[in-house]
Amino acid sequence: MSMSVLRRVLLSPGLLILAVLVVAPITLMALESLRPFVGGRAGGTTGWTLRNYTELTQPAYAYYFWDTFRIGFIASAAALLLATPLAWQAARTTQPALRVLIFGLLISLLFMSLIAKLYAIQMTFGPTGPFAALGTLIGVPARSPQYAQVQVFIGLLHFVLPLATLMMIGTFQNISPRLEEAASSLGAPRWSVALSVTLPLAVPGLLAAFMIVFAACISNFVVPLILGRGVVLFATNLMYTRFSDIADYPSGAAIGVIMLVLAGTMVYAMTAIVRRLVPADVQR
Amino acid sequence: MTSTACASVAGDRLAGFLVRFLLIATVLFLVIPIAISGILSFDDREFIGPFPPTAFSLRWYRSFFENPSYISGLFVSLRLALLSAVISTVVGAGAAFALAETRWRARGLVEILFLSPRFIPTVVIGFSMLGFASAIHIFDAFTRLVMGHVVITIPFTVRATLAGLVGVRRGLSEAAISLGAPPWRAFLDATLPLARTGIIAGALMAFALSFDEVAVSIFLTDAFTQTLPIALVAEMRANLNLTVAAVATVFAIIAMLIVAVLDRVAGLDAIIGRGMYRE
Amino acid sequence: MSSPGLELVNIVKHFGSHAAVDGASLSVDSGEIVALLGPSGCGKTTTLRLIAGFERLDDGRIVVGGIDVAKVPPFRRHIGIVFQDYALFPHMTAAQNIEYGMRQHGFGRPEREERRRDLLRLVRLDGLEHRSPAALSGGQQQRVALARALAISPRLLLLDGPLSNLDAKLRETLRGELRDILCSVGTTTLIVTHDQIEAIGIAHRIALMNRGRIVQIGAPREIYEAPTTRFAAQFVGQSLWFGGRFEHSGNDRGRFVSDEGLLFDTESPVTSASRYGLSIRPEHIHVPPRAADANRLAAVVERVDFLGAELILRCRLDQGDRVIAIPVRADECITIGAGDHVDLGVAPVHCRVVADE
Repeated sequence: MSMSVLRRVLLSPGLLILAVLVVAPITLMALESLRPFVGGRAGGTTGWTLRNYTELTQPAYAYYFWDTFRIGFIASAAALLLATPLAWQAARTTQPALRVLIFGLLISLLFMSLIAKLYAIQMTFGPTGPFAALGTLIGVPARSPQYAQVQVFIGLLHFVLPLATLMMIGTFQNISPRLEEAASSLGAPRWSVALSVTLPLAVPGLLAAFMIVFAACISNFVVPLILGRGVVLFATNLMYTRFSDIADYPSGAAIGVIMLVLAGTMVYAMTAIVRRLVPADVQR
Repeated sequence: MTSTACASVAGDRLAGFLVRFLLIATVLFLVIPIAISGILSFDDREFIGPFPPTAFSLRWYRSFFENPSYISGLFVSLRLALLSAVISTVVGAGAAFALAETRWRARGLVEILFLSPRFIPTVVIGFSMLGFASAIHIFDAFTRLVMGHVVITIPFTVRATLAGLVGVRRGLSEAAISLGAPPWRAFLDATLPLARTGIIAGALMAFALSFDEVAVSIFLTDAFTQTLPIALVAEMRANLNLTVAAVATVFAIIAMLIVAVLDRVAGLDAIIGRGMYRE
Repeated sequence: MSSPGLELVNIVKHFGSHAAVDGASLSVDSGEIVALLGPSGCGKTTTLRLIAGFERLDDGRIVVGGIDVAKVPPFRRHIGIVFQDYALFPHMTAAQNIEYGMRQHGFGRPEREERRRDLLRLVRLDGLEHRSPAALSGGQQQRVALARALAISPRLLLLDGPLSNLDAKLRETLRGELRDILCSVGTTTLIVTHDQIEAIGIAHRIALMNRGRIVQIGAPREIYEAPTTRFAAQFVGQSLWFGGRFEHSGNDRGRFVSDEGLLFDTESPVTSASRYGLSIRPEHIHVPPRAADANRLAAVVERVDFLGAELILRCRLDQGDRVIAIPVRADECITIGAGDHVDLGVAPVHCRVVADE
């Protein structure tokens, strides 16, 4: 058996699965989104319409999209803000014990059930938890409905922080420590080294990480489900309620198409940025 | 010049303190909820009361095992994760081998194709899979679940195997071929064994991902076949109690064990890599 | 000058249980260029990093320009560094790289530009200042790195293998240029390198380093002609080494009996040690022996290698059966061929008795 035949054999199951289980369902969903919704009937209707999409521009629904973006953006920005110093320390430390500790922490968090973490957050920062005072500190008491936004924010942060940190570790590992030492020897205190050398060189990595984290946040379903208390709903949750509450498949499908387009755009933007800003010999 | 000298040394020290403070705050932020949940899991009170608990017991761990929907959910999740991980690893690792060997023009495109499910929101995968399964008359919940879970785990098995193959030189399989082995034998003897760590890492990630998945599962389950996360969410909706704290603690311990095993087997340094400027 | 440019007093640095630097001492005069020469792993890079402040001293003192720098953070030590890979900031032009240090020290714009122009002229890079490092060749990058380090008028200049990243031809040209630039600027300089040609070609004095200690310091010629240890004899230049016993007979004279039973009259100062060996530079063995060559050896030529202006005679000594390689000028030995019996001679003053360590 020649190499190219072997290759084809190895690739075909995967390609088959992709075609049958990804392309076909999504195509079907896209088609369904253009069908009118007939109450009481699940699918099978005829005719084409754009009403499912135009319906979403109404303030009531647009609000959910806005919430998704707003909270997702703030959580992503906070994640990058906290991930960067942690990642820099992990990448630069000369003590192997510290590095292994941080790596270990990050990977355990990745492997740990998100649901478990979310309920832990509920018990810690929720109205009955020991850190509920956090709410009063920032002016949103834990018992108020708006506090759900804070909890969703915390939940998203827990979700993406390990991922963001790991990505930033990669970025900092590819910036030579000699550059920081050179800046230091030329008279720059550490904060000046960070601002004038380290961060400018980390920008492509930061942007790429932000895009990935942001896409993950707006696509997330569980966090608003568990911590949103019905007050905070992401577009993803909206999709589910269209299906589960009123069996409005076409509307759910329309939301799905929009989410797909958004996520895809973000990924495309990320690769474009990386390609523009990272010199070709550094890209793997 | 000395006053500005003192100022800049002070500024440097201050910046150092702030960063260190931020680091510790971040780590604490990540760890505290898990610690609190761990402590609460041993709380003896029947209701969720103020922290800290005054009496301790294992009641919530017992309550987990005494709840039939949790137990059946656990078994469903285990079967599902195992099956999905196996299928996904076989298919994904195979694809990775095919991709790694080639200097194919289409290689980049095919690689992106295989990694694409990662960028599709899981709700979309779940929702669309439901419609598709109905359209082709697959109504068995477990089959639908496997379909969905395989899709979301393939990008991880492909990527992990590819990463594991980075260290394996193509020359090894070519050497085997020059010694008389047919290509498929060279693959089995020279390439496959060395990519072991990558494949295992991918399988582990696939299992963990499938076990924890909610967004896909919530569309594809039915009343009789529920995964553990779905069962948990449903119960907690109705009646929030500390069983979930017990579950969370068990998951945390398992995660730490997995990491300890990974470190022993491959070394965490090796998994995360050292970048271009290895010290 | 009253205070030396750089002083290392018994510095020690451990990594875990391994002592990378184990009590090294060195004194560099103001304006002098000293090369810290040694094989990889000898501790020279660690020493450089200790002086720069990137590693913390475990014990000992480092004094730069009369100031003990132990408590001084790296960004206040005022030491210029040229890294092995130059470490030019890729997101800045050459001009911005050079001005970086001046900016940090608060120089005003006209001052910076003037100094930058002077430096570019000094390192012969006029006209290239607005290129980014990626658009510069290796040699040009090295010059930018040097200009950048000199821009802050440092008390001390540290060079880490300045020529090691360049190809052989470039190395030759830049060696001389580098020496000229350093001498004209007059800054105390320490060059860290494993390349003896780099050390010999640029430095006023060489400090040989091995296993965390500085084993010999002296002018290049001194180290070549009068090594005090086996390491020095073998690391710098070629050395024919004989193990054996030494009897001191007075003044600098003595007699060395090698393990193979060969006898040598020696005439060299000897530092006390527990074990001795004999080191002879191959070019000091003459065929045929000259008047001053009191030590005679009989040998048979096994092979003659032709290298152009030089021949290498591989001779098997009659006594002890050892094969040694001796370079001779081609025009002096054209009649010697394989199989010939020859008389070899070496003068006692070229038989150096050194400590076997």
